[in-house]
Amino acid sequence: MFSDVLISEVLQSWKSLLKKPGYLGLASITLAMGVAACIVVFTLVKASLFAPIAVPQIDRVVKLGSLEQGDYAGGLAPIQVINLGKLPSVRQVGAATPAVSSVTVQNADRAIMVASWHVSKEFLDVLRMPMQIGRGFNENENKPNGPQAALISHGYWQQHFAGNSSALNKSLLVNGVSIPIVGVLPLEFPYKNADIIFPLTFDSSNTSWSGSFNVIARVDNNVSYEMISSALYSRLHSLDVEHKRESLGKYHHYIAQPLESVLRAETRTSTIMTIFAGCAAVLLLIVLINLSNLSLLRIVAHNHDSAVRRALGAPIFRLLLPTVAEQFLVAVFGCILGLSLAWVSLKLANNVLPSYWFISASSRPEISLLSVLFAFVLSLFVVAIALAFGWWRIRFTSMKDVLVSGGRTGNDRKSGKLGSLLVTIQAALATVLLLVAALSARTYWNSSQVDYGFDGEHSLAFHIKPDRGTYPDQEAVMIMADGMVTRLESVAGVMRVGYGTNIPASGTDHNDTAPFLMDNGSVLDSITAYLVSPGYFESLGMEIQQGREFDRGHSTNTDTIIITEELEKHIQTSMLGQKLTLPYNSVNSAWENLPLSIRGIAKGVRAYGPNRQKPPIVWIPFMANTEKLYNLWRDSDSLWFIVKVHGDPASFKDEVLDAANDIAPTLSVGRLEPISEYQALNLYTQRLNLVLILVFSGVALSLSSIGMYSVMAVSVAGRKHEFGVRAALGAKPSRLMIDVFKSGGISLGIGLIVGLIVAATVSKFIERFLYGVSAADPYSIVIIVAVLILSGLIACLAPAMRAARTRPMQSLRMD
Amino acid sequence: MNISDNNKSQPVITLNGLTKVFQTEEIDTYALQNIALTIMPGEFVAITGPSGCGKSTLLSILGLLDTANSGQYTLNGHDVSGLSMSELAVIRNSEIGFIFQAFNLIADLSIEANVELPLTYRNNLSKSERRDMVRQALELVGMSHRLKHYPSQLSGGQQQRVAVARALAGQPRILLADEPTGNLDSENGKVVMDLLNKLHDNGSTLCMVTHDISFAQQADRVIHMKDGEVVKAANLN
Ligand SMILES: Nc1ncnc2c1ncn2[C@@H]1O[C@H](COP(=O)(O)OP(=O)(O)OP(=O)(O)O)[C@@H](O)[C@H]1O
Ligand SMILES: [Mg+2]
Repeated sequence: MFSDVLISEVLQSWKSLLKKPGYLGLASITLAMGVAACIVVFTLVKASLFAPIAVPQIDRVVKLGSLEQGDYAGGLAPIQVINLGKLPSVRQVGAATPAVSSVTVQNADRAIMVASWHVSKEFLDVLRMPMQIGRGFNENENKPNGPQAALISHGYWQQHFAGNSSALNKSLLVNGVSIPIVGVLPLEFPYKNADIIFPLTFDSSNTSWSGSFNVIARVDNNVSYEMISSALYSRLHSLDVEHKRESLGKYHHYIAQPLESVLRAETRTSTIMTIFAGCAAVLLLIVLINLSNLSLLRIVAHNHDSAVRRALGAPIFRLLLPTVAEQFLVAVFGCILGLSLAWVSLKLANNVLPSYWFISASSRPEISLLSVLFAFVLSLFVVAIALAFGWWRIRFTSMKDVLVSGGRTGNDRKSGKLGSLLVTIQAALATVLLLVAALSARTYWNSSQVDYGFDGEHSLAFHIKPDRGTYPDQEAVMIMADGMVTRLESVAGVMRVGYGTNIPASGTDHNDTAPFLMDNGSVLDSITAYLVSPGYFESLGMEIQQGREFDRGHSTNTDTIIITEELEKHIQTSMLGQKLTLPYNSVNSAWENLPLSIRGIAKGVRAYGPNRQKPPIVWIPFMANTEKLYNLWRDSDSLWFIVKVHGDPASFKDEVLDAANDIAPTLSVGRLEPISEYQALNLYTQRLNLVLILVFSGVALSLSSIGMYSVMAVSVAGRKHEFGVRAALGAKPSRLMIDVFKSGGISLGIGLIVGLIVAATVSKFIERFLYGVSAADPYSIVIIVAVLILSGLIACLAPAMRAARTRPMQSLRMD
Repeated sequence: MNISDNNKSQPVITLNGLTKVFQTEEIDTYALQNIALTIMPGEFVAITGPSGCGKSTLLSILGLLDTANSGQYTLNGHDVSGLSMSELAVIRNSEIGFIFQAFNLIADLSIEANVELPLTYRNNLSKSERRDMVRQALELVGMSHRLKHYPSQLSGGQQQRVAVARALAGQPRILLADEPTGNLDSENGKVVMDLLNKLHDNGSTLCMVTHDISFAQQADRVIHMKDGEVVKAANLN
């Protein structure tokens, strides 16, 4: 009997809410945006930074390596791996090649290029991860010249074997050799880059100092990382001393780094999750303020209604009931809308975001129970804040004043001030996000305008991986490659073709570095070096500033090299005509002494991407005596071809593919694309970040505009009577409009100034993501001021026009 | 708490030394100063006085819409100064019917729902009881044919009659009216005045602020106020 009153009151409040759905729409969309933005970012942050790594007892696994700049463990040479022997407290040690390399896999219909990796049986043992199906490598497969075996990744298994366990009975035709599949890696396998894994075998007589292997170990429970590090150091240091491996007067240091920090390092540094989390926090704040604002305005609008009810003796809970009912509806709509929005966004993110954002394939972002809970809590906030404001109203407004005047006194000043304050805070927060967005946009623009030092517009490139079966030595590779050049240059429209072990902008941060010995006896450490053919420079449109490019035909190129101007700057003497000796024999016994005279100095190139330093590079011509050098690199590198054409490079794809298939029918052609596409890919991460930040700031801007609009709209509605009086006293419509714009402008202006001050202090944190633009960029500031003013004008326009349309009679009449 | 012992010889309302000060940024306004007043059951009291003398303030304190700064207010023999917000609400709901110059109907609610509103705040009325009381009240004011209409669809006079119906629907002991005819023309004003007289004849205690001398003269007693003080109380009957 009593409850029917409550029900009808609830229904009544819903009815009037739906009759004028503007508030419901604004409030639930605002809530939905907050819910969605926070869930998406929270889920992404969790998936990329905090996803558990499925390696059992991962705190007992370390990476062993030389201490590199930035305090991380680098790689170890074969001789070091062999000599590790039995370290105290270390149970098992495993090694893997430092990076993936491409192999050609012949499928039924076509050849494809697949990323492969070599790991030892022990490497898998250390990880202790059960295979999805099948097994890891066995003892025999782990021996040099043992039986062939391959593991495939979960993704490869799904894609090429439809997740069928019959894959275990099949073989892969890799570079012309049939290799049986013995197992499928688990979905959670934390090394995601390789799709095929081969056994890494160590010949115990391999005493090479070249090559750097990824070495991991499982250690005893009660031992500290420092103890392992010092044991490792004493073992490897005595090896260094024994072999006189002093380099530049110093010996290397060695450390044991926890595997977890190794695996997380990539996702942590390569994403700007912290910025996103910051953006989401700011957005959440804007959402909360906006929701408070909307519910405050709603309560102000219900002022008269509520005073009448109070005068009639309504108990407090009955006074709050309509508000709660109303906000509950907003909460339900907003929650559902927000969860759907988050779901759609995460689906989208799953398709768009690159895999290096995530620890493993299994840590892909999905809406969790916690997110749903969060949505509920945020929705409850909407109800709670309305309750709080409602309560505040009841306590602090005078029923008498409202009722005696019949609710015609307009907005009371206290909530008017609070409303303007909230608008100001929103504007300030939006300013901060807009500045981040503007700076990101400028950074992206600057990066896309960077001069790479080579011409991406007129060439296309591709790579192949000559297998040792068909092309046993360097000569065989060069005969094929020169044949390819001749064949391609016979295509009409092709102007010049070159090849080499890498091209700038290929995106492979390779290990093709070597130390060089200068004439004066000093050593150049870790200089990037490529083996290249004649025509390499011309086809890439690279400029030789002094000296000459390599000649057509290989003979006259012998024992000459081309270096970048960066190397010359690095050394600070004129280099043309001088000699470098490669390799530096005492460091690397596998290399021959090759004195090379510098025949040309090329303009620097941005080999690693638009925002990275131009590295010092040495280009060595393919020659008969570079065989050992090539052998070092050919397993990890492909052979890249550059085809300079007349006209649109993309239109030459078919002819280039035909030529490649003619000359090397057993090899698959990788990434046949205009070089401009390679450059665009370098900007992919930046573009993605930019898009995400733009989405955030766009949402922030629209939310604060909504906030401003609602404050202005309600204030104009509340001042209807006042405007009527003014109009009756002869105020022109334009004057009434200006009044509205002025009151909006003050809140906005203060918000803008506060926002810029806040932005100036937080911009320190984003500086490292900027390129070619300072955090206090005047253009960006001018633009966001303009954008904010524009959005403010738009937000005030409708209320201002409503004010201008006030007819004196209409609003003064007592209705 | 039983505030409604109906003792005919005991005053319904007793004010003693009542003072109300409005504190604003610049100045303090003494809206009421040291008011003493007694209203007996069934009495019809009119309050008059120049604008700003504190009539509305007095009436809203009588109606428990506002509280005094000092002094004593005894309603049906009970001191109301120590009561909580919800206790005050219960008394407003059951003991007092308020009629405003500005009608104060809720625009979103139908006429029927407006009149029913105070009844829904009581816990002991069934739906049918409430409906009967609403019908009766609206019949009394001659508005029972407009149940489903909304306030904006009524004339000022009609709205005020609905407001009267709302005030009396719960059969309160005291009716307080602040210039109930102030927004009405003389014709409509008379209709509303006749209504109030009828209620008084049926035994209601009535306290009305008015500027209209002819209406004031229909009261048992007229209280003149000036500058927040009662300057003259005249017994007419
Ligand atoms: N909320 C308030 N804040 C400050 N002063 C107030 C407030 N309400 C009323 N006053 C002042 O108290 C005094 C009495 O006001 P009140 O409304 O009671 O007058 P009134 O007698 O009803 O006048 P009228 O006949 O014009 O309605 C006036 O001087 C008024 O300015
Ligand atoms: Mg008054």
